[in-house]
Amino acid sequence: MRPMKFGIGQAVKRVEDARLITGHGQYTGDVEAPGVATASFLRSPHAHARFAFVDLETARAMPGVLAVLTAADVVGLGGVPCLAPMANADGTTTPLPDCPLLCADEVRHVGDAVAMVIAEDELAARDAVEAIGVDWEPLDLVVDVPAAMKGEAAQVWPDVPGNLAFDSGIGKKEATDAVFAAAPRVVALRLVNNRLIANYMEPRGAIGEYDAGEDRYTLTVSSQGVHGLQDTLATKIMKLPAEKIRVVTKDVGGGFGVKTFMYREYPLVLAAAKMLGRPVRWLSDRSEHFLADAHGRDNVTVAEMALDEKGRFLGLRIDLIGGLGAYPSQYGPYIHYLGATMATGPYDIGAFHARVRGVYTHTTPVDAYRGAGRPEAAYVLERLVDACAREMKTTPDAIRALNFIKPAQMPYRTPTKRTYDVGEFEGAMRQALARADAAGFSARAAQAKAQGKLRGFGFASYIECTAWGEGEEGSLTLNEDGSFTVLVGTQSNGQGHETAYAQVVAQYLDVPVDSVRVVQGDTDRVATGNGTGGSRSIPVGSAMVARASDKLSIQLKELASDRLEAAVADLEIADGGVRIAGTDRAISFADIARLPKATPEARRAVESYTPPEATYPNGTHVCELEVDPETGQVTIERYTICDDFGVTLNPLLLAGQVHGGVVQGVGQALSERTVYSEDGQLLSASLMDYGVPRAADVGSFHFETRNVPSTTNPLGLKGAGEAGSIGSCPAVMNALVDALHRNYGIAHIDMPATPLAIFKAIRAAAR
Amino acid sequence: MRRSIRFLLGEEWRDLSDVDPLTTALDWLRTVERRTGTKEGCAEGDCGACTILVGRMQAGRLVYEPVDSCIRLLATLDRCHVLTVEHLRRPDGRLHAIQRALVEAHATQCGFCTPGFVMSLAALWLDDPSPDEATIERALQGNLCRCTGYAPIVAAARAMSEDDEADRLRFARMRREAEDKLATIDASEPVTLRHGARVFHAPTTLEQLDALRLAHPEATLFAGATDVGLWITKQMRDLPTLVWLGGVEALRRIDETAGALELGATVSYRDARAPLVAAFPDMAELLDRIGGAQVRAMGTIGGNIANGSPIGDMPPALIALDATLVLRSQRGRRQMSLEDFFVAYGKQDRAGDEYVESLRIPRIAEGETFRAWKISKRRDEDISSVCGAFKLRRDATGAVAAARIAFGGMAATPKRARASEAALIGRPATRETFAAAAAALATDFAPIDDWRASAAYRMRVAQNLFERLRLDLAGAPTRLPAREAAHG
Repeated sequence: MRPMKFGIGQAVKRVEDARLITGHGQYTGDVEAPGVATASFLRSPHAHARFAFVDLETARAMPGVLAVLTAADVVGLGGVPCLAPMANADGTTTPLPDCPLLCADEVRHVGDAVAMVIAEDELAARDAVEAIGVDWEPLDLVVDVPAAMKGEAAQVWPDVPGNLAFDSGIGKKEATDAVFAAAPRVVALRLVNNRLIANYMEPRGAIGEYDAGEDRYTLTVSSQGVHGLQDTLATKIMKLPAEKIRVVTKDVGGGFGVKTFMYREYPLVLAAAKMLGRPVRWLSDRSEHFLADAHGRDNVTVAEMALDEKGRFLGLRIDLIGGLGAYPSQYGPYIHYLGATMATGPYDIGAFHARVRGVYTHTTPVDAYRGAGRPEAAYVLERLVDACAREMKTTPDAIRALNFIKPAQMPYRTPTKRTYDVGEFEGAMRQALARADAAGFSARAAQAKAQGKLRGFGFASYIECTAWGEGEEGSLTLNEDGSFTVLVGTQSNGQGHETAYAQVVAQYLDVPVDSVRVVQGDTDRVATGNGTGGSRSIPVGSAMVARASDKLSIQLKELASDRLEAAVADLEIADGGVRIAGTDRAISFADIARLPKATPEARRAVESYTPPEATYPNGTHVCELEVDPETGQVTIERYTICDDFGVTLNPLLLAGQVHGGVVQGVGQALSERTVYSEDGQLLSASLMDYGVPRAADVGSFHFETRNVPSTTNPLGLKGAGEAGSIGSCPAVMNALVDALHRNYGIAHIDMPATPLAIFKAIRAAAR
Repeated sequence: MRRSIRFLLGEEWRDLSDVDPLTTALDWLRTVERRTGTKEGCAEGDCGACTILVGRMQAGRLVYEPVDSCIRLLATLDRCHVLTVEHLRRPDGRLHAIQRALVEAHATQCGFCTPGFVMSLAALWLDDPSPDEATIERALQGNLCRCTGYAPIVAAARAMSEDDEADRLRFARMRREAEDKLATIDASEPVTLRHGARVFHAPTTLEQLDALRLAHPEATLFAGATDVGLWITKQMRDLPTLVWLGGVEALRRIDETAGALELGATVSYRDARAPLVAAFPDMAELLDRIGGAQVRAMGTIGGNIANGSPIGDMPPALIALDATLVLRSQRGRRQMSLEDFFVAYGKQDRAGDEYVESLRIPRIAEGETFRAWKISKRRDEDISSVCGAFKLRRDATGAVAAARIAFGGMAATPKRARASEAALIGRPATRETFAAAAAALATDFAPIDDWRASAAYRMRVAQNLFERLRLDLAGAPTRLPAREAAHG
């Protein structure tokens, strides 16, 4: 692709920054809504209880209170549905409950919503919430996933025995079992993938409005895509034609997958707005975020690798038990399965079977969080591969090199029926190891040891899938003033899409990025869309914008050809206009826009793009860390990444995605621990108690790319939003296990490897 | 008496008489002023998204500090110069040097935490034009970002003083003008605000405070509001009568005499740092691990004592140093040893009309050693599990001649470890002696189990501090070497 000043591959500064960095971002809580009332929720203090209201009138009579709603007030509305049910391996399905907008008589996790108060302001609403009288009858409960599967465990749902929501499989069970039975070596690991809480800095929020004249609702919401919410509201919850509900999203303060989902508060603010005849706003506070937004990860996996005597992987067997929380969240059940579809990673493994089960507990629901199944899968596989290297007394790089799918095997059909188009896994690994100075590690380790520190070196080679499934339709318009407008159905929540899409336009139309406006997040302005998730926006959205740009450039040449008296074939796009190639005779886009023939239709190109297959970003993360054996404290000393993202659209945005993802992975590996007490209270429910990494906790990284363009994407792009969080957990943990194994023979430690956990492991090993 | 609060928001006066005393600065900025650049991320001073810059008049000059506006009460902005993220850009639209550095480093993604980082960096930019790595980390302890991974923000902090002359000139002019304007307010005039049943008093002299204390023994006294702010935002408590001590200049006194350091009750951690560290070098690490920069600028050492928390970080150190407290009321002054102040959980030896006026900390004498260690789940912005402080004197033979030891997080109050002290005094400073002192801790304390730390952990780690102390006294390395530049 020809390099353009502001085009694809350029390190263009973000067009969003001027707004965000001066405090002029418009997040949901910043949006003005004249006459707005405030909603607050009464949430269950019990993990499992039956309840009855004994006093609603006191709250209703309090000053400033406009309404107190309970389940009885919203019987006409459907619950929040799960959109990704999983069938059992035998083809049967287990009943799948909706999440009620407000619980009627039973709550199933701390934070479950039982009543909604709408008042003139936040304080009045909260005071009234406290005044609601409820008779709680606590019931037996279960918070631990393995415990929930035991016969005597309390049941979250009466028609789901053993709390088993699904018991599915992927791959060939009998054939795999046979390979294991005959295999000379089998290496097994049991790993916990800790439950995480997203903690985007902007908590969720929503404003509901109802226009009685038009009989139409508007929801302004901090989301990752307006169209999915509109569809679920229309078809499942409110049962209205979609055009009766407008959904708007402004600036979004982080999402990480978790702002994708429909949540009960959204239809409720709409219903309340109609009842009261005025806008109703709900803004989550941080405590509510911990209790009421979907959590992530949460599984226990037993993984086994069958090997031959040379260390070749013969078969992989996975038994994954995933936590679902109390309700099946929007994509909750599928996320555990999705990870299993990537279980064999970058390796050529003949036999494969995974059993994937989903289990209810009396806890906050679990759903997609940055990476959504793939970080879990990569973690299991890369930990297991390192264990195999130890078992076979070979090196981690040698066993990987032996088992990687080779470039010559591409396209490669995995046992999970995916097709990897390209990938040079050993190339990325070798480059990362060289850049990380693997050869110099021994000297550094010896130096650390002299200072009483245990240095560890570990890495992970991952492959993940992005940008599968739905496409995007959108448009590019030349405006009358010569600027351009992109309409797109993805939703930036921090990634910098306004800059990225403008660069794609700049690539085709040779204009500065600030002459391109990107419109997203409004169902009235953008007809369709599938939102941002699964790292799809850049690969899918950019391909659509590229097609529209290409198409529009032809339309603009056609408009220009009359005025320039030249054939379209002789024209080229250059320098903010169209010119006759090889001459200085040109017309600017602004002048084209004013031509008589430049009708709105002629200035607008609509295009769509639907990916035929996922893209498969991959790479190697290398971590070098030190453990203080006296305290269990870990410091990451060096971190090196070599990734294959196909084509780099903007190196700044790309590095930002990778850095942020890595730090979330470091948080999962070392500090983020979601703790429920036995009675179902979330103990880690504040930023004081939940270990989100701080500036001093993480160092800097070396990041570089070794790109192999995707063949399934027109621009060669592969998604990059989640990869950082996928490569990082296994890299950090392999380095930690390396340090502990070298010095104490410790071969296993679970995440999060807090100082206490490491301290205990060292003490246990020293005994 | 003034019946309104007056302050500068940027270059504009605000004169507010109808103020609910429980209103936070953040809520007022966002809902009344509609300055929505300042964000609410947690409403409990953990995340820093709400950071603003507050200039406080001190001897006719403005001193600017980073403040968590989510727990700072609006009424306490009286006589201050308030700057939010919207004020940094120059009138011609050009970004401030800090903002330019953030853009250049690609240090913002979703942008929600960014205004808070901008303002924390602004405070740093004013304090230190060329901060080192550790200073940058300290300045950012109180700010969370979930998108960038921090490295670009730290890079921006290193670069923010490049090409900043125009911004410095502009700031100096703004500051002079604000100082001139604020000097027109009579600093000796007390303020009283009434709003419905709630009342807010800001006395300016000790005598006024004495009278208020007598008239309203039920009133909530507060200064930095780093704890009281949470009563409002998290516990939704109604506090009908508030007495803010921040206007009483006499309570901000710092007196450094030959024998002691005397701190007025409302001296902040930030202001106390230099004199405390000069007198007790080992205090630096402890002070730098209390909250973040915002909390240290707001929170006061007197408040940390007066609210009587069993896990307050300062009382153990101050008890070990044999600090004395001056309590004051209209009846007069009363002096007591700090350790006697803490009677039981939530109960202090303070009559209804009394308040903490000042704190006197004797300097350590020749031959004395002071050490204090905070143990918490993480380094930054965390509450102590255990805080231990030791003052020891050894005689010419090396034997322990005197010992004062105190712990926080080990009992319902910060408390002396008298059995441990007895086990040390008169004994040679050997491993056996310190082991005996550690063992004696079990007769001094029966710590509680809670979800911050188990009783067994608290006891174990507290006992281990004796071994650490022994090694430290023997000159053995006991702390992690300074981390190599983490963001290199």
